Amino acid sequence: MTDGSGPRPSRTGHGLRERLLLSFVAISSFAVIAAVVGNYAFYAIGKALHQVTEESVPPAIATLELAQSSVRIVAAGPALLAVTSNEEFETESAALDRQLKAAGAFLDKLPGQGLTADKLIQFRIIFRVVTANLESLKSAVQSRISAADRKAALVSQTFDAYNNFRTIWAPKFNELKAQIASLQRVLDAAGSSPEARMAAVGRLNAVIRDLAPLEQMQQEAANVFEALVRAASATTPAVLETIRKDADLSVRHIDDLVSGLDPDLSFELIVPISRMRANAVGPASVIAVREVELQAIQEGRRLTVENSELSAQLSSAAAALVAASQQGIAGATARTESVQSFGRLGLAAAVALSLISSVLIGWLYVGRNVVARLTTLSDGMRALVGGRRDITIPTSGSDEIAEMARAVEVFRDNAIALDQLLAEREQAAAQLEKVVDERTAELQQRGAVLRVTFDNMAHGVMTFDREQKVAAWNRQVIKLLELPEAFLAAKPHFADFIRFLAERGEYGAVDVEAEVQRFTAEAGQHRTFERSRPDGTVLEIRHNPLPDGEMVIIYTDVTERRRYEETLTAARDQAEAMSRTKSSFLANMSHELRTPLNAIIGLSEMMVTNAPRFGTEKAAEPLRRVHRAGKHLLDLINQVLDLSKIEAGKLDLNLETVKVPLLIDEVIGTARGLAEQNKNHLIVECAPDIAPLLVDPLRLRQILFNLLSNACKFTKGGEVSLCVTPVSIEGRNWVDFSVADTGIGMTPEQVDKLFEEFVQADQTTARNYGGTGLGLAITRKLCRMMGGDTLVTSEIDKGSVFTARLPTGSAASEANTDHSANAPDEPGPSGDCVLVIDDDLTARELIANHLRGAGFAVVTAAGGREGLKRAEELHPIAITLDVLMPDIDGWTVLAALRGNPELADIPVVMATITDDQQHKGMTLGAAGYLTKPIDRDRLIALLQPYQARVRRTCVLLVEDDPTQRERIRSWLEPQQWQISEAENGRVALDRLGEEVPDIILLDLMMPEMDGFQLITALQERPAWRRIPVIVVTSLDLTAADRARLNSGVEGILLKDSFDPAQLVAIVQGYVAKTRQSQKVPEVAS
Amino acid sequence: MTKILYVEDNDDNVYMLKMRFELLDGFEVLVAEDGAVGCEKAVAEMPDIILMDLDLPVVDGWEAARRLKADQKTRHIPIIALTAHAMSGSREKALAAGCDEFDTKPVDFDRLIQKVNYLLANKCAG
Repeated sequence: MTDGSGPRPSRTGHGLRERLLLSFVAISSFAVIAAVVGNYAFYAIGKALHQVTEESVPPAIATLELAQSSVRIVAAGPALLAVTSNEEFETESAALDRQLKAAGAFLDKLPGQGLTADKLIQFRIIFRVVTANLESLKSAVQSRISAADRKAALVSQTFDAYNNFRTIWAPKFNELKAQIASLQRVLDAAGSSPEARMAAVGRLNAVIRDLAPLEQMQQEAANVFEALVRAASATTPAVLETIRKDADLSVRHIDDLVSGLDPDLSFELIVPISRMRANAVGPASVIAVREVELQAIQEGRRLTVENSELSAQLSSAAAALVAASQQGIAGATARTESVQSFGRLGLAAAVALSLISSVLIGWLYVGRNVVARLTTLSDGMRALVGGRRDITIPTSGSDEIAEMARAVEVFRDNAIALDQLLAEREQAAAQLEKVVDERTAELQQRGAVLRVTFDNMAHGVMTFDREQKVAAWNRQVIKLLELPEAFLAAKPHFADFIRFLAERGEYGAVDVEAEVQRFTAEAGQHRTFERSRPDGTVLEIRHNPLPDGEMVIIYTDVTERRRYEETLTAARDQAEAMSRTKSSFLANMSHELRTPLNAIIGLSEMMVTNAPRFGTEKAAEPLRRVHRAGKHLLDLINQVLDLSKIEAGKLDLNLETVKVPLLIDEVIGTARGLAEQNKNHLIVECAPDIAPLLVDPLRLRQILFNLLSNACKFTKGGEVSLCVTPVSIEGRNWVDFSVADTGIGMTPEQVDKLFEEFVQADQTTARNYGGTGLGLAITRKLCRMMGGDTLVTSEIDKGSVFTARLPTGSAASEANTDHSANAPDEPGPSGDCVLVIDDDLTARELIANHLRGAGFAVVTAAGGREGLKRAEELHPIAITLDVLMPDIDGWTVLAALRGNPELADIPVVMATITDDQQHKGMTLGAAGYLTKPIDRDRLIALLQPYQARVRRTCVLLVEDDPTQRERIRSWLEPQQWQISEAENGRVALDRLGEEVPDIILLDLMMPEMDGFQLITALQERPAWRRIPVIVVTSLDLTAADRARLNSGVEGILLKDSFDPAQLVAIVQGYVAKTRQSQKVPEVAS
Repeated sequence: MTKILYVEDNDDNVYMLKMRFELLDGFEVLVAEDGAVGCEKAVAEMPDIILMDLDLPVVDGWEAARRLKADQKTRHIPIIALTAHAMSGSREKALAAGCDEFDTKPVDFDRLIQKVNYLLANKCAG
């Protein structure tokens, strides 16, 4: 085909996508730049505008305001000058102050920098001057007005005074005028006498004499008044001076005239005249006041002139400010415009660039590069498809299109190759047929070989196809099952196959159809079982269903094997019997062996102690030797027996709480002699506060004495020390009894052999040091029996340390004690337990611990007899049974259990060291089988079903009324309890025979056998006596009835007086109580 | 006076046998506590008969017996092997080592005397 290189990795074909991407990026970037430029322009414009509005405009506005203010201030001057009253003054003054303040405010608004700066300074200067000027003007006007007011007041006063004068003068004048008139008349009268006339003339002259000054006075007064009036409106100081002189003159005239007057009259005229005088002459006169007024007016005029000049200046300064600020605004505006135009330009440029580049890219790259190449490529492919092979493909470039081109090239090459291949195929097909023929022949050959193998196998094989029809069989199965070929050739169904066998008697005398049913039901399961044929052969049959529905059955003739097994079993039984005989022999011999020793030891001792009596003084030495040898022999015998007892598991430990220091003292007392024999120094270290140990004191002494005597024996002139120390290892507490010596020590090889029985470290040592080598073996076994162990360290020629380590507290308590720290098994919620029977403490505890761990309550027994007793008491849910036990062996126990109807239903699991006793176990009815060492998981698996079973509470409901039964049942069924019913006492007894319930609910009134009778019947059997009975009755019970019920009935309930929940609670309570009371601690066997 | 060399390491056994033989008059018992000393004393004292315990330190009874029987000087001295080993094959093993007779412990003294006398008589004869 092609050159074999497949699609090339896409790494080399990059470019098109990236380039297009780049182009788009480039175009976009121009747009982006345009946007950026635009944004920047906006920003700049904004800034400039901001400047304008924030920086230039407010000041400009302020300057305008200021200019306006200035105008008003300028106008204020003349206005002020024109006021004629205080009120007007106040108004104008206030207005002026406002304007000044406003102007001041506007001034503050103006910045001190920029175009307006120096103008502003100028303005400020002028402003200050104007302000001062106006102030002066104000005060000038103010003084003018006050002067005018005072003047007016004085004039008015003068007028009043003049009127007053006239009021007083006029009557007098008129009187005098009247007198004159009368006198005149007299004179004029023709008839008047000359004397009268003379008198009249004379009085007339007197009166005229009085009248003239009065008239003159009045004229002068009038003159004064008129002068003051003129003074009030005098326009120049010169005129005022003339008037003053005139008034002065007139006042003096008046004073002269007054003195010539009638005193009364002059007295009356004093007030007005003095008033007029005051107002006409002196510093308080109208004239003086008018003078002041004139001054003020003059000042005012002067200030006004100044003011108008200054106003002109102010106005121009304001105008200059305004101009300056307007300039500033103009500048800012110009800047804004420049920015704007720049922005416009930039934007235009960017847009133009963008457009140009788009056009270029679109045209140059996409058009020419991409599209053109694609077109070429597609033309090429079309040609290829059309059948032409001579096209060329442009494959230059490194982008995707080039990739595609190369692929097309490959395609073309492939097409060429394909043509070639088709030609070759023709050839190959012919070749292949030849090969197939050869292979077929080969397979046939192999098939024949397999067939021969299959047929001649030692196992009989039968296969069934998916439809369970016979598919294949071999010669052996025909032979084994004596099957006719014709029958099999018909490919019968599995059921028919079984039927055929059954009808022929293969399974013995059985119900044929039942057998067929049974086999077909179990067809899908893996099964291995053995079967005896009618002709005596034993077959092992394996059913192997295959996942796809087929099945293979394999038959093996195991007759011989069975025979061997049986022979072996018999031999084993025999060996076990012999072993048991041996053990009992040994046990019995202890008695036999010791009896003669009694005589030897006793008599020899007697003859030594009572030498004179027996005349054995001379025989002392031989007798002592005899005695010693006898004691030695006894010691040896005891050791041997101890050892054999331990081996047979018959050594009993009598555990007591032992005060360690006391025991140590005893041992040391005995050991001292030993130590001295070899000149050894004995040291003892024992903490006085060591906790009391639970041990067999006899055995502990034995252990310690063994270790000490060994130490003393193997050390000469050295040091032997006994140290008793408490030790804690991984949470458990121990006491170490360490015996250390400085003796000959041991090599590592010797240490290894140490605990073997009957072996001293070596023969030489035995010669030198004596002993049988049993002591250490016994010591170790004893330690282990008490839950501890022995430890050794040693160095040749340096010495050795032997340690007996014993547990404290709970660990030391095992089989033979009542109180253990593992609390006595609370029979679990179900109240029932598993009974573990094994003589070996370690094995027993191991099984017990495994089971406890899995949630079982466990009770143990150390032997068959005890086990049977416990089983009867406790009726456990299951029993594990060791086979090899010294008192009665496991098989016997099993048989005994099976033989006892009450215990026969308890499942028993055998535990043994050998594993080919399975058959025996199964035949005897064991429920399961374990080999030691016990596999924990298997143990639990075997016992799990019984655990589950027992947890269901079983209630026996004894009631004759079916409705009531139904009712109670419905109340209890939700609890998942097992409920059995009985309609009277007799039926109830039947039920009890099948299964012992946890509780009985009992009606009293029933036919055949009523409640009372049933209760009596229950009392007869211990197993039934235990069952709590609740009487449910509608009877009104008499005292006699209650007495009958008292023994054997836990409670009495009245029908319809309780609800379902209450009944459930009551049942639960009684069941739990009963199970609790069955808890019993282990007892020494 | 028959000179007996008793090669034995156990003190009680020595005490007893020595005393018993010497009670009989006509016997003198020499003692060696191990096989090596036994061979030396045998050469030095030239006893009439050797009673050889088999489990001995330094050199055991079998080896000592072999040596004595190999040595020209002591070849002619009869050796009775004494042992507490009561297993079958012990007798053959002892005889194979060169012992002339074999007996087990605890010793039946009469039987032992018989054997001694027998061997002494035959030795003298051959």
